[in-house]
Amino acid sequence: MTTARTHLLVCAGTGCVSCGAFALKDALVAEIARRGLQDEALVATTGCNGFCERGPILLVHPDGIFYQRLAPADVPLLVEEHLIKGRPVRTLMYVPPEGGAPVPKMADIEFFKHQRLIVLRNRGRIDPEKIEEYIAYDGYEGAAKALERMTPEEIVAEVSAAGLRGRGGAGFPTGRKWDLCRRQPASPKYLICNGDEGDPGAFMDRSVLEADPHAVLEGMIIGAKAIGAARGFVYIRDEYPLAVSRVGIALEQARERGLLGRDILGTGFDFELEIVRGAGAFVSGEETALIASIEGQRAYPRQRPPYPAQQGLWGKPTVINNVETWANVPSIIRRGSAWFSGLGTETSKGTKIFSLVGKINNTGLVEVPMGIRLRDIVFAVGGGIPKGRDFKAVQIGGPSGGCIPKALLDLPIDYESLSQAGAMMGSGGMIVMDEDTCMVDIALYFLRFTQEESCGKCSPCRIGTRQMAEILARIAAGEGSLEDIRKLEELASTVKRGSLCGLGQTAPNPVLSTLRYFRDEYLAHIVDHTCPARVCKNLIAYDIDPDKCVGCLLCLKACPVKAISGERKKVHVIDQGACIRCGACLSVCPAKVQAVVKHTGEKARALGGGAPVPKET
Amino acid sequence: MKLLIDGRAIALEGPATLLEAARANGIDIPSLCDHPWLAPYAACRLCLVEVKGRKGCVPACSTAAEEGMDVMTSTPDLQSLRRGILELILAEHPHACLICCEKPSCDDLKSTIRKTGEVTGCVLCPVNGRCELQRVAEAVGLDRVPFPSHRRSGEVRRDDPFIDRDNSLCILCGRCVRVCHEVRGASVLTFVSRGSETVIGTALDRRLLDSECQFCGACVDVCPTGSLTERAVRYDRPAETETKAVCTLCGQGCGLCVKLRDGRVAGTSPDPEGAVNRGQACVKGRFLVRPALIHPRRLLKPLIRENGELREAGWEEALTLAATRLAGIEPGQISVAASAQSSCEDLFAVHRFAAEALGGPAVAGPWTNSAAAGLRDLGRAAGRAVPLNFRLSDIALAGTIVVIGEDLPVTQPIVGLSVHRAVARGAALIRMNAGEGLRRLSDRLDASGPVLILFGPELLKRGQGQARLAELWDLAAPGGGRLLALDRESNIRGGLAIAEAFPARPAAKAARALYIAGPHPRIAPGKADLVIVQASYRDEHVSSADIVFPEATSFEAEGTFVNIEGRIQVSPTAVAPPGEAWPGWRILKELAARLGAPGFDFASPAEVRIALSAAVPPLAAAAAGGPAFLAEEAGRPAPSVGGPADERPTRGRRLAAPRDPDDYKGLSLAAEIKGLKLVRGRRCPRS
Repeated sequence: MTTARTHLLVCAGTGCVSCGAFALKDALVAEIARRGLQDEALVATTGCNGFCERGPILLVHPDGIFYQRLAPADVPLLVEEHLIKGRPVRTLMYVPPEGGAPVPKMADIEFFKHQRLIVLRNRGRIDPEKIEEYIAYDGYEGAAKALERMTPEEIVAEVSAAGLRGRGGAGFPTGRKWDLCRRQPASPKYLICNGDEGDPGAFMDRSVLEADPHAVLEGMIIGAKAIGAARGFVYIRDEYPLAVSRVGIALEQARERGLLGRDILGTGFDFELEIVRGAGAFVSGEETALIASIEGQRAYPRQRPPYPAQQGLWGKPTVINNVETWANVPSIIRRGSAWFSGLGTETSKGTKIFSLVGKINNTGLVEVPMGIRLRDIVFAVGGGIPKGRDFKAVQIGGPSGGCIPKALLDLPIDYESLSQAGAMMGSGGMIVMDEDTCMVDIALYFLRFTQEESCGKCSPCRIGTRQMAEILARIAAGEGSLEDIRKLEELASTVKRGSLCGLGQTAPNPVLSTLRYFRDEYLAHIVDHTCPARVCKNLIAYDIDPDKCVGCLLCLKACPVKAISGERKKVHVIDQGACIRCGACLSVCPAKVQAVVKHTGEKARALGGGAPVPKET
Repeated sequence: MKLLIDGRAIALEGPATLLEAARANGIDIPSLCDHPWLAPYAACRLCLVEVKGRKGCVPACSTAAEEGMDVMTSTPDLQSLRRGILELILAEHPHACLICCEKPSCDDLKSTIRKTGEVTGCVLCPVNGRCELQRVAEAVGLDRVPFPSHRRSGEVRRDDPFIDRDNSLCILCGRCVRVCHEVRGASVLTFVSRGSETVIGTALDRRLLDSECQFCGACVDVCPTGSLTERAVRYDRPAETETKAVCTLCGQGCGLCVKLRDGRVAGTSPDPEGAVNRGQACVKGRFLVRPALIHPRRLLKPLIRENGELREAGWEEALTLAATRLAGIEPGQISVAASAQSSCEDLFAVHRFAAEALGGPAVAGPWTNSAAAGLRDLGRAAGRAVPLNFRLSDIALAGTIVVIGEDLPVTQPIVGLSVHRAVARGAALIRMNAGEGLRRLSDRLDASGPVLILFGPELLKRGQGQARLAELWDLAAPGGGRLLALDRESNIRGGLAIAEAFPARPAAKAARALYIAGPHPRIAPGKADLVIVQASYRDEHVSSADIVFPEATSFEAEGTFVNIEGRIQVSPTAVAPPGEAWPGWRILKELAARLGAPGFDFASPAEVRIALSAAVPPLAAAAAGGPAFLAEEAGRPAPSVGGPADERPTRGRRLAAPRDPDDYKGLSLAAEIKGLKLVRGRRCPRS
């Protein structure tokens, strides 16, 4: 067996792929061959590393050197310097946002330093399309232990003792759900993996399914033994073709090795899994709607009780868990519940994956222990707010969640603290916002999403979210009244208490949460006709500072409605009557100049803006 | 089981939802999407209640009552939640009248009526006064809707017979979708699109005619608003009274509710308590009774042929003429034919008339070649009892069902519902044509569970009918299975029982006179120089008749009918007969009086029933009232010479059952009523 002295692991997560990871890989392979190093340096692709901001990413082992934002053009230098001369290339390394020296090793980078990897433990070190690599890192050990040496009761007891809670959003104790199902007399029983991740901006489950599908499969095998199921379904939203493909490959490879199918590992246990592709709606992530979808019905949620653990798929006892939940199980069984419950807080054990996006320097996927402070996620792991802006809030939990303001930055991230603060753990989407984010606009964004995705079965959600979205739209357009806030709160109560499923019950959360912490912003919109963040188009005006403008014609050319007039080297002027406030001028004005500014309130109105955007002619 | 609702102790016998428990005890919890025929849906959210010990609120319609529960249905919190939900529902439903200040005076002054093509408020709505949403709004107490209205778009769909669909009035309760899917098994209506864009529609937005809609009207019956309505009666004023009747348009004998106004039938709907149909109907019983009763072909006055033309006459003149002419003909020269769509009273009167007044000719009728007769003869030929009676609900419990030659949605729709229920529970269904060989059937039947074989008169039409029945019996009986005879007319069983009670007489070979009581498939007058017809509609017999007596239909004359189950049902007089039409038995009574025949002094249908019960023992229960079935016969040897065997059809005279399942007393509904013509005439394949 040949052993290479160096491994070059190219990140092939979706983010890096879209930045050209495969072209990078091909360039590496070619250059290494050209330099005659193919027996010493092995190039391989792995799943997502999580630091998607910095793709394409390359890890060079055994040193653990982290290269980022690579292009094929960088390859000759890299091979020459690092592989041949043994000098890692500092210009290709990560530099922290505040400046300073490059950080060569992955383990030293703030983004990675604070993470604790359980679900993402195989991050960046295996090819998800090779089962042998998963096995090499203790893969399927947990399943073997569960099938060969544990009873169903023991498995359930371990998962319960570990304190694992559902990672899909509700946080229901997993062991309790399994136990309820295990004790049901009806048969057959089913297992479902909910891979219908739908929160806008969330990609935790996608990453796990693409980068380490076997973790989910192994978890489901263990769960099947625990409840007594012979058949399971992995429901993946159709918009994740790579995840569908990788899970499919994983299933085939597992079958080939006798890890799925009849008489697994010779223990006499039968379990088969199949993929079901999603119906194309956010609501089909709701567990009863998902079940309806697998049954071939319209994805309408059903009243609970009875719960799926009692009567689920085709009326039979069914355990349905989120991708991340399943992926935690093999580690719990392999390393024991005491190890797992040693991480996290009293009531929220283990780790949680968050997708850190928005106004944050280090965008990507992070797995951190429960109980970590929000401040540490934003400023340590996340590297703080770009362009020196001020932190304003973090939206946690997507359309079902709420925002946490600056005053609560020291909040520990666990299920209870978050819901007390009016937010929700949710599936783990974390959207960071700065002073340029309008909270009314955020609430409107999420309400519009929920409105569009509402299945329409129950009256409060179908009609109530629409009415709420319309009120918010009027407020954002400067046409709101104080009465509207009262109406919003009343509607929120009706929708929350009256809705049939979690989509409706949590749809008002973004509104309630922004009203709770940013009421003044609502009042500014309503009373002062001002958008403090300068986002809401009807309440702002764009202006070119005559003292700064250098007359470069860039904004003039960029304006889609030709609202800017001016000549070379002469100050440009925006026609307020024609301006549609798209922001193109602001984005093209050179950073050194920064002549385009936004105004709101009195100033905007004085300029002639701050009025409804002109309709298209 | 005991529980508390609003502080009241409630005792329950069996399992129930909180909604059922409350309503059974006079506690009204509003709801719009729940319906007794349908599985709970929990979508409208109006029935939310609080249960002590449970977080939040639960929908009463889908929460099972449990021992010791403490339920509050109307706390201030719940009331405001309910009001909030109702306000939202009304924001999507035209509610101008609800909030209009002119409302109290509108009914009298109609001061705000404008000509619009749409429903903007209750006053312009076809179901004003009968709307469940109105009732809920009144119960909750609402006089303002603090939200902007969103009108659902779409014109009123008028491109189908019988049913109009107005999307702007729909509140998406889902009852129509659910009844069509769960109860009728047709799944024609479904939800289209999602969220606020949701509408009720068909696949690919086809017409109902181009989907598999059977136009049973169940969707119209369950719709709580005016979204789905019966076009013919849509804008009629509400009915004044309602009475019950038995539908006689086919052999199933569904219970109907007949709505009346100004002494006329305003429409029919299925009786939720109908023993046979339990609130379900078919296109005929639901939509065609009224048009049938007022059809232009109705005979309203007696007619006499003079100078080759039929002219109107009075009863006295017509009866006297008939008696005179009949008296002049010998008994053996008179043929009598009757209809299996006539009541037992009428049929009894015909048989007695033939026996007493006309000197005894046999009465020919379609029961002879019916499926029921075939089954009865099977038993007699083998000297054992073949049970004829059954209950439709038994079909729903079968393990395997074979249907031979019957297009159930057309000929036996309610039987079809029971079959659907059985299939939904896992029963196997095998469909065959009447002429198919039976060898393959025995291969397809496995040993698991009793087989029910449903067959109609088609099976017996071709030669070897009795032999095939015997074969089927041998397939079914050993496993505990049964054969069920499905005849099409409303009173085959009654006709069969009555015919048995009268001693058999040979049929006349070349009759000089024909007395046709009730319509009959075409009988050529042949050499007869006197044709007397008793009918409700102008048909081909009427055109060749010499004397015509107008007969009342079953809705206009109290009568007893025995359905395919053998269930004896008395249908009361729902409405007065039009013109001068008389019940059949009365015509014969008067005629018999003029012929000097005894035994006809009946003053009422009840008195006819008494005589009937005495003469026809299996029908004895008819006089007693109350639910009863035709008494089954114990094993009887085949009768000797004479009797039904002699009534086999002779050549040239077809006494076969009417081929047209949509025939009603000589009126071909499918040919004469446009809506049914469209329904029957389409060629979309059925599943």
